[in-house]
Amino acid sequence: MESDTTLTSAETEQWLTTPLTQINDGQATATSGVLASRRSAALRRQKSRLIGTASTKIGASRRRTRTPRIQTEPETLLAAELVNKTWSIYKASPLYSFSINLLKNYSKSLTVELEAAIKKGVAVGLDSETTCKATFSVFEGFAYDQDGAQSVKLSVSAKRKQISDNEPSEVLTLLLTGRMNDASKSISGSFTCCPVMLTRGQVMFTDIVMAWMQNQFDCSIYRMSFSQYHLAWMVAMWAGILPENTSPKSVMLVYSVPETEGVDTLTLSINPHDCKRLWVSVHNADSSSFLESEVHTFHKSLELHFYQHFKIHLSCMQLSSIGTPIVFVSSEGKMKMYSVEHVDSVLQLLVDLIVEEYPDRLQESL
Amino acid sequence: MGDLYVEDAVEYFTNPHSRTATRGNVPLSNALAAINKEASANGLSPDSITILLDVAASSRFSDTVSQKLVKCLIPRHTVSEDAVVRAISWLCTNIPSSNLQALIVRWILLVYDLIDSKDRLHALYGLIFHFIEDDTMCPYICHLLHLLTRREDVRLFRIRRLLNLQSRVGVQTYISGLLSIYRLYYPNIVSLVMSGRRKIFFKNTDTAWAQVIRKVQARANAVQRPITVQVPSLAVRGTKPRHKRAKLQLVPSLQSAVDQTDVTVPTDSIQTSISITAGMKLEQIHTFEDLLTNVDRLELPMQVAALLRHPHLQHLLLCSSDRLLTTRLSYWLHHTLQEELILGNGENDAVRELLDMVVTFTDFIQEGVPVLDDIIIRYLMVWNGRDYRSHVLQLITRMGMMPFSDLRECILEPLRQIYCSSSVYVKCQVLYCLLQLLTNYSALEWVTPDPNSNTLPLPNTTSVFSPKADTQALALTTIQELIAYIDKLCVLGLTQERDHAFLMHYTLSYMELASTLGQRFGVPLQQVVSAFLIYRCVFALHAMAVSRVCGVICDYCEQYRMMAKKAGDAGKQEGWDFIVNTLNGYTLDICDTLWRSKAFSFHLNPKRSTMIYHLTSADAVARTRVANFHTAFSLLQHPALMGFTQSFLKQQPDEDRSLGHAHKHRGKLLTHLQERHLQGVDRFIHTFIRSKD
Repeated sequence: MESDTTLTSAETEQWLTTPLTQINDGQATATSGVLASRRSAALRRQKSRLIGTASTKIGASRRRTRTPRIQTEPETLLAAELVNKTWSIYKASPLYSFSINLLKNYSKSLTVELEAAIKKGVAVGLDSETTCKATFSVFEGFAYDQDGAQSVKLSVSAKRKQISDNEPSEVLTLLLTGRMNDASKSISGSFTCCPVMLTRGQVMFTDIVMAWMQNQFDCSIYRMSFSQYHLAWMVAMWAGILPENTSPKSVMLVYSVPETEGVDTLTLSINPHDCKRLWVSVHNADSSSFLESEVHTFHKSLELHFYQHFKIHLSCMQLSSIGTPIVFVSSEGKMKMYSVEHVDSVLQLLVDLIVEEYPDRLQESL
Repeated sequence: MGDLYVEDAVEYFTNPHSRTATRGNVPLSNALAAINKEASANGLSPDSITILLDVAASSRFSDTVSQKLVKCLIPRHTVSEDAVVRAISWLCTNIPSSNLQALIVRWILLVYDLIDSKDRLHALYGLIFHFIEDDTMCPYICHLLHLLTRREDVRLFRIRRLLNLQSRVGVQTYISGLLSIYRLYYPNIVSLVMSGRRKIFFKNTDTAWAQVIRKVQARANAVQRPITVQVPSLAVRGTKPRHKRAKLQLVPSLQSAVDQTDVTVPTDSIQTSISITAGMKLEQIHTFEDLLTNVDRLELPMQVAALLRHPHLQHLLLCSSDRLLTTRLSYWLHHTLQEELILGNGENDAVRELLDMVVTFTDFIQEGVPVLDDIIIRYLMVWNGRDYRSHVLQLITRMGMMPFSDLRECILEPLRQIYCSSSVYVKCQVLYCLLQLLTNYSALEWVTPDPNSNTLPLPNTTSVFSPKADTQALALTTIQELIAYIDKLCVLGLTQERDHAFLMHYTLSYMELASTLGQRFGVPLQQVVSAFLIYRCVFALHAMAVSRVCGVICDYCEQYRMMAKKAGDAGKQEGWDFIVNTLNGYTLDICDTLWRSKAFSFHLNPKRSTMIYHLTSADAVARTRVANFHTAFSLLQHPALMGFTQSFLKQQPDEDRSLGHAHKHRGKLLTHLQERHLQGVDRFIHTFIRSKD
C-alpha cells in the first residue's frame, strides 16, 4: 500500500516568505545525509592523501578539472534523441581493443550472437520466428573533449517474419559515451575509457548484449546505482535551473519509508519557482561551482520546513529518487532528461561519479 | 514378493552373477518394477543413473530389458557428465543394438539441460559427429550436435560430409537444422536454400517422456526449497538495490580469443584440417607440460579474469613482456570488486569464490596486486569485521609498502578496532595477519644494502605488476614502527584475555620474529621487545612461554653480536646503548629469577638497573604476601616448571627425591626439560651462565 503526502505550493510560498536568515546559519548537524557526506569526504581525503593525487577538502567544489568534458551541440536532432526517454545507466571498466574502425565487425558478431541466443531458446518470449539485427554507429554531435572523440550508438532491432510488413521494431538502444581512440601500441591506447552507458529497451536483450560486450572487450559492466548522497547533490545543484521554453516540472523528492505498515514512499513536490527562490538564496551567484555547504543548507531548509508542517523527520529516511526541472533520477540507475540544453552537464556529472571510483592510475591518465 | 528397495534393485543389475535371461526371471522383473516405480515417483539420483545407464548400454541384459531400463532413467536433480560420456563410449563399441543406441541418444537429448557440465561433451564433438552415418540415429545425433555446436566446431570437412549425407538421403529437416547453425557462424561458407518460413527442424518425438521428467523435476525442486524465516534485518539498508538476477558466477569461464578479422575475410578463415601450426586453444591445456610445449602458439583468452580459475595457466601472466594482460586483469578486478564487495550487501557465495581465487593467485605470484590495495583500503572503511574476514586478512598481508602514517590510518586502525572488540580467536587471526605483513615487508620490500658496493641498489624489476618505486628509506621506518605497533597490540591483548594460551603463542611468535629479523632478512636492529611482554612471559603459568622467551633473549643476543661484528670498525652507533642496556637488564633479571633464586633482589646492587617494575622498596614486594618470593620462581619451583621438576624427581632413585637433590643436579634437570621440547631454558642457561663444574 502506498500513500504519499505532497506539499502544496501555497504552503511552500507561505513558508518561503518567513525570514530565510534562520536557515542560512549552515551549521552541520548529524543528519544521515551529512554523515554520509562526512564519510565520503573523509574517504576522498584519505584516498587522496594516500595515493598522492590532488587533495580535495571538505566544502570543495564539485567540478573537477581532471575528467574529460563532454560537449554537445544542442541544436542537433540527435542530442534531442536522448531527451524525454527513460534511460538505464550502466558503468563499465575500460574496454580493451575497442576500435571505432571495426564497428561493422562488431555489428556482425553481435548479430550472430543474438540469433544464436534466440535459436537456443534463451530469449524468453520470443519464438524462433524473430530475427534480430544489431547495428553499431557513431553518434554524431557528441564530442568528448576537443579531440573529437565520439560516442557510439548500438541499436538492436527485431522483426517478426510472420508479419508481412517488414518493419523492424527497436528493442534495444544503447549509447556508449567515451573516448574512442584508434588502438595503438601503448597500453593507454589499447584501452578505451567508456564510463557511461545508457540503455533503453528489453532487459533480455540488454543482458545478452552486456554479456557479449564483457566477453568481447574484457571489461566488467554493472548497473549504476546512486547513493542518496549523490541524489542530494543532484537535486540541490539542479533544482534552481529552469529551462526557458517549456513550463518547468516541479521539483520532486521521493523518500522511502523504513518498515512502517501501510506507508512505502513519501513524495515531496515543490513548485519550481519557489524552489528557484530558495536556490538563489542559498547559492552564491558569482561562483560557477556548487559547494557542499550549499547542498547541506538547501536540504536542511527543506527538511525543517517539512518538519514544521508534518512533524516528520525527513533526514531519517532515504532518498530513492529525485526530480528536477531538467532531469529525473532514481537510485536504481534510471534517468530521464527533459531539457536539451542541459544534457551535457547531466552526463558530465555521471562521468565524474563513475570516474571517481576508478583506480587512481587510470584517473590520472584520463 | 514384496516391493524391493531401489538400492537392492540397482545391486541386482550390477551383480555379475545375476541371471540375465528375460523369460521367467522373477527377480529381474521385480528389480525393474522397483526402479520404474521409484523413478516415476521421485526420480533417481545421479549415481544411480550413472550405474544403470552403464548397465543398460553394455547390453548385458537383453535388448528389451535394456530399453526399459533406459526409459526409467528419470533424473531427480542433475545428471553427471560421467554417465553421458560412458554411454557414448558404449555406443562406439557398437555392442548395443541400433534401436538401443537411438534410445540412448534420445535420452541424452531429453536430459541435456540437466547435465552438470558439458566440457567433456564438447571435447567429444568429433566422435559424436561420426554417428551421423547411422540412419536410425541420424536425426537425434543431428539434434544433439545442434545443441552442442560452438564456433570452433564448425569445420570444412564436417560441412562437406553433411552435404554428402544430404545428397545420399535427400534433403532432411534435421540435416538442414544442423547446417543452419553452421551457417550462422560462417554464413559465407554454407549456402542453404531455405524456404521463406522458418521451419521446425527437430521434431519432438518424446513428449510423454519429457513430460514425466518435467513432473519429477518439479516435484524434486519443490521439496528441496526450505522454508525460510523472514528475519527483519537491523542493518542499514544498503544503497544498492538487490538484483533480480544476481550473478551466480563472477569469474568468467575460459574462452580463447577469436580473431577479429574472421568475420570479414571470406574463405580462408575456417580451418580446413587439424593443422599443427594452427593456434592452440587455451581450453586444451591441462598441465604445465602442455603449456611449456605449446607456449609459442597459444591464443590469448578473451577475458583475462578467466585465468583465475586455472592455476596452471597463470604462468601466462608472468611471461608476457608488455603488461597488457596484467593491466586488463587489474581493471577487471578493480571494477568487479568495487561493485560486489564495497557496494554489495552481506556475504555472497560468488564473491567468496572470487576472493578465494584472488588469494590463491596472490600466493602464486607471491606478491600483491596493486589495485587490490586500493580496494582493501576502501573496503575497510565500510567493513563490519566479519564478512570475508579470512580473505581480507590474507589480502592485507600482501599490501604494498606505504608510509606508516597511512598504514596506520587505513589498515591498522580498523584492525585495531576489530582486535579490541572481538574474541581471542579473532585476535589471534589479526595478530597472525600482521606478523605475515611484517614478514612480507621485511622479505620483499627491504633489500639489504651492500656496504661494499658503491652503486645504489636496483629498483625491483621482477614484479608481475608495475615496477615498484624505490621504497628503501620508507621501508625501514615503516617496518620499525610496525614492530612497535604489534608490540602494543600484544600488550593490550594479553591484558584483555588474561594470558590466554593461543594469544600467548602468537605473542611469542611475534617476539621470535622480531628477534630474528636481522638474521633472516638483514633488517637492522633498532628496538627490542617491550619489558611488559618479556616479564609477562617469564612469570607466566605456561611452560611454553618461559621456554620460548628465554630463546628470544638468546636470539636477540646473537642478532646484536652479528650486527656489532658487521659494523666492525665503524664502532658503536647511537641507539645501541639503549638496546644493550635493555637486553642486559632482561638477561640479568631472568638469570636471577631462574637460576640464582634471587628474583626481585634490586637492593643488592642499586647501580644495576633492573627492569622489573622499577620497584624502589622491599615493602612493595612483601606486601604481595607471596612467600619466599626470591626462590618462588626459580627453575625448580616456578609454577610453570614445577610439574617437570616433579617428573624429573620421579625418575630418580627413591632416596633422593627432594628438592635439595634436584638443586644439586640442575644440569640433569635441564636435559630433562630439553627432552620435553623446552629447549629455550637450556639454551639460555648455557649461553649466559658460565658453569663452574
